[in-house]
Amino acid sequence: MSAGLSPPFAHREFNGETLLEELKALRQSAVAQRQLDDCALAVRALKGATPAELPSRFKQLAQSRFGAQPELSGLLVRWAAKVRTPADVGALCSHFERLALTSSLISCLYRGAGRLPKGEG
Amino acid sequence: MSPLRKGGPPSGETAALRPFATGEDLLDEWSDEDQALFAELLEDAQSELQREFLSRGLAAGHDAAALHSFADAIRPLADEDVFRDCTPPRSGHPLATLLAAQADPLAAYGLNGHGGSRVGKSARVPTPRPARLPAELFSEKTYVPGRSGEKGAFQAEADTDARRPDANDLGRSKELPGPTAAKGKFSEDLFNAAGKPLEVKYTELAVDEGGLTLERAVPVIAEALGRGVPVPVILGNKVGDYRRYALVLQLQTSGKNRAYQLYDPVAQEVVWTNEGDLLHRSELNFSDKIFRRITAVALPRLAPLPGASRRDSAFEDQG
Repeated sequence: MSAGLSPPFAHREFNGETLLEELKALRQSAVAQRQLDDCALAVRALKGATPAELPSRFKQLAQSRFGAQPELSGLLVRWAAKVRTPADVGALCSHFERLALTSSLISCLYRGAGRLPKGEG
Repeated sequence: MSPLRKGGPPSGETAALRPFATGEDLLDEWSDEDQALFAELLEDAQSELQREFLSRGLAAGHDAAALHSFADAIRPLADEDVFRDCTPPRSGHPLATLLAAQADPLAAYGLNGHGGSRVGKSARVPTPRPARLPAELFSEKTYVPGRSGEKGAFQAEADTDARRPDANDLGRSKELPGPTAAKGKFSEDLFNAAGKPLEVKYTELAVDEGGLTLERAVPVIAEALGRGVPVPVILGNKVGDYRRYALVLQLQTSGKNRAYQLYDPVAQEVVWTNEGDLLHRSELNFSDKIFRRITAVALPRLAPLPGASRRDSAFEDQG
């Protein structure tokens, strides 16, 4: 699964604890779920970009769409600068999609907890 | 693979004109695409009983979409559950309805409380079908296969085989919950709302309660994680114990070993568990040992990967 990935993207916690830390930071910065979704969709459209052009495309995206959210735009720019291979591009785009989906699902887990039959079993 | 031996109707005759048309005859009236779909449904059926019911549904005049939904609904079920759900109740309906349901497993399925779906509707007199099914037939609009550059593609670091199972194989349809689907189903609506922006849908199912087993769920979870889709699960002490939601974040593969990372948002705890331990129902590594195992799972419904032979009605006509 990690074939062709640069070390930052092949790291075991890239989509684990790293992702959770990013989510925590984004929430502390009051980044809304809708912005994460928008970001994921915008990044999805860049999956075909080459490693060379991705940093500039991400930077452009960060400035034009998410300039008002420094934490989110910073995340885009920081990760894009680490892209080296075509596999990195896919992994990074997927990472932002995971970020949005995980954020949304975690909110659901909290809300759904109230629906569980507590104390059974 | 041809699902049924094709007898072939007399030239120029349509099934609609034959009151006792057989499934084979009706199949001949279908488009090649629908015939191929039906062949795949038979191939994917988990037992001879499921194949038999599909064939009976065909003979009863249901169209490809209805049979597809029906097949998806019964696929995760054990034979005894399938038989029970596809056998009409003894009473509570007009005699004519019960008689019709005797010969029509989809109608019986509907009479047994799996309504609100296309499955339980009575069969129609079949008519020749267009080559493609109209999109408005399908209530589900999930994301489309991850073709490059196509809107809605949701595909991650897929090293996946298009023929590997996904949630489409296991109780895919929200509108067609099987008898065990109601168990363990608490927040499916929330998950679907969460996945909507990225066009991901979930089906929440109990695990090891007679329908979906962990053995069948785990490959679907792995497939979803491989495509970048986290999987909500419910943790509990034993089967039927639904205590806390958690999220399966990712899958790591090392040689033949596969490890899953689970996140408990309440305890803010992240643990890893090997696939072998998961399948052996070994105790999960959470601090609180009451959260011993997975008791329910919200399986994402994944589109087939490009080049996959299996068709999914949910994605049809969106390409």
